[in-house]
Amino acid sequence: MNFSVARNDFYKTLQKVINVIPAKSTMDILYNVLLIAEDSTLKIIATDLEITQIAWTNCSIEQEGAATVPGKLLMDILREMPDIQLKVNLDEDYKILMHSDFGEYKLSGQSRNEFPGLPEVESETKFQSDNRRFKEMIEKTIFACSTDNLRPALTGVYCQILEEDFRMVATDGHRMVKFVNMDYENPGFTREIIIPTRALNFVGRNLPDDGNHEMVISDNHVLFELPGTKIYSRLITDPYPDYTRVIPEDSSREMIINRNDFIASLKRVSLFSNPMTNQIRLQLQPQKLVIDAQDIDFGGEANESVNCQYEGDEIKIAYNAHYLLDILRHLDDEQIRFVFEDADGPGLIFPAEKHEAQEILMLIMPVRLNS
Amino acid sequence: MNAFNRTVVQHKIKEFFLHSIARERLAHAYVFFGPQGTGKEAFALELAKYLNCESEGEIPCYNCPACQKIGKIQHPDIRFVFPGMSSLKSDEVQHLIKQKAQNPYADMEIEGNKNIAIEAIRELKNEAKYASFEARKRVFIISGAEYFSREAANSFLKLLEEPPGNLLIILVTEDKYQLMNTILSRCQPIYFPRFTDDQVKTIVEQYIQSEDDILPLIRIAQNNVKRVFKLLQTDYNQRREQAYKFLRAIASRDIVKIASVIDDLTQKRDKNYVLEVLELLMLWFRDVIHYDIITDKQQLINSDYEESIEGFTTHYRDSDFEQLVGWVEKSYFDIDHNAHPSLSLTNMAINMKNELIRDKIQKEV
Repeated sequence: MNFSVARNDFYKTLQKVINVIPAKSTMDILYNVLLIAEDSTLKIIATDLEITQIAWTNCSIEQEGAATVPGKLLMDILREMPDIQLKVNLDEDYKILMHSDFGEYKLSGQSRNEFPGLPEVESETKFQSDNRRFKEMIEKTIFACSTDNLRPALTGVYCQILEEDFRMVATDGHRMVKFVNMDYENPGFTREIIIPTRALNFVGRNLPDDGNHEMVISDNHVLFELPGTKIYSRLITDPYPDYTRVIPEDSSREMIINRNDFIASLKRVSLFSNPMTNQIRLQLQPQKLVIDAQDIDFGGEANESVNCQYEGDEIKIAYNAHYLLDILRHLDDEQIRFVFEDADGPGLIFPAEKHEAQEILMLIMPVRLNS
Repeated sequence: MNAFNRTVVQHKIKEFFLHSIARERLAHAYVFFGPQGTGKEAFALELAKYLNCESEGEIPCYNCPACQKIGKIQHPDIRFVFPGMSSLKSDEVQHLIKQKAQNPYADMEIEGNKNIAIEAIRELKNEAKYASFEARKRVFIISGAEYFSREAANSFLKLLEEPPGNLLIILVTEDKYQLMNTILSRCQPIYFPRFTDDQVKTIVEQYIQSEDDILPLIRIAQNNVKRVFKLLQTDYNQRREQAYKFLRAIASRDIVKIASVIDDLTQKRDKNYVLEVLELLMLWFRDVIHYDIITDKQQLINSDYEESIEGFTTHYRDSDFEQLVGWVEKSYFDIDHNAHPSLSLTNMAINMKNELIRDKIQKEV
């Protein structure tokens, strides 16, 4: 391997992938990045086995080749350089020699064969979608994922590529989000996959606001083709529970309320809830919602009332304030619709006015007041 | 068949796996059990290579990226767990794994807490939830499965009961009866018998070039490959000298001499050193009894000490050798169970001295 590249290009490319390198691992090869010089491009690859990211830049190559080098060290040396042309050479022992105007730097690398291979994805199962919409879908679903490894499937977001729509579902057993995107054309196949949350966070961070990106799905991996970079993620293979069964078909009670007022009151009242349970109570009365919280251990309590549209008989429901606030924060409409059947069943939260070509449903399970 | 050509393993085990793989009847989990130093972990790695090798000819080829990565225990889909792993720092773990990769037959020399903690199992479970990275068959190798902590074992059951499709779990243990029944009943046990002299020789020659004849060493290690490698690192001849010096002191009936040898032995305050010397002493008596009964020099462990053994056996022909070994064994057991080494050794020496003296008097009469 023998090539020369501008420091700025090298540095910026490395910067894109450097965050993938794990902080702690039993495989020391993962602290390395793989440099591949071929076809007048320099590719840099980093992986932590869950996520693999590639970025590339132009360079002039005298001899093609590949090797791995310690990522952090390369990053540190490049950071300290001004924008000059760098020459990079590889000798037989995988020692990488970098020449600059100031001097020479030798990094000891390893063979490409020891680095985990690039995941293979077939190009047939390709699926294109809009950056902005996908970013929104990630942001609005990911918070509801479970962090508990007891149910591995719930630690990822369930993505369904269906005949007529594309949906993402996330749940941890207490709350659930279903985001349906109907502004969509079926790519010629249907698939259901679970993408780990960490990978989606990465993709979300790397997605520009405009334009489109491509998602390629294989049996074991999903590839996101973004401008200037590619992100591969391993899929979770555990079966996802049948989430449709928890969504009630019809509910008799309905409340429409201003989201910001609701959040503000909830924040204040929830300060007085028991810090262990975060339990707050909603008392629904015609045209009025009373929120109250009580901490029996320390003797604090609070209540507030908020105006709302509600035409039913009086009812009391208790929720975990954190879960409820999480859900409300991830909606951006002024008015929201809160639908439920009774104090023991799930509560559904929608935007009061339907959006064009999309459907968001958030579900929260109540805390039982009396057994 | 062009398979496992370079793998040193009992024919039966090799045939068994080739059959199961050919008929797609590979179980989801195996327990490799058998005495120490019978190449269980090494074969587990070989099997992982076999299942993932990309070569068209000889399998495993040791050349393709998959074989190389597994050989270095750096394959993304092959996990190697050993006792005490979670209490070590990650660079220590890396170091031990590197050692294991260099010579999978050698002992790992793990110090301190030897538990397989629940964290290690959690990590495996977390790994298991993903699809495989690049392997055809993922393999989790858990060495020293008898060191499972109770919680870890129970947590591991879940993975054993519902393993994902392309995962092979191999538990390696020297004592399968220390495993919980619930774990054992969910795995297929594979027994690893001791290697023959030639097999051990082939293995040792792969890793160490030595001009010396290693046969006596193999015999002393009782065909335990792990011990052979360990003995090769230590000065085992010095230990043997110590053992025979001890025996000579006992035979001379000189209490002062005995005490000085015991001082020598216990000076290092290393229990294992004393135990090793005692073990060599037992092997000496094993040779003596053997020679006494069948007078065949071929089968001697200390084949380089033929003459001394012959002399000793004839000289003390009438003493009760079994009783003598009994004293050594008792002392070995006591010291292994933390008895005071020099007290136990002195006691042993006095008992043996009496046994040997009585005989000598008889002879003189």
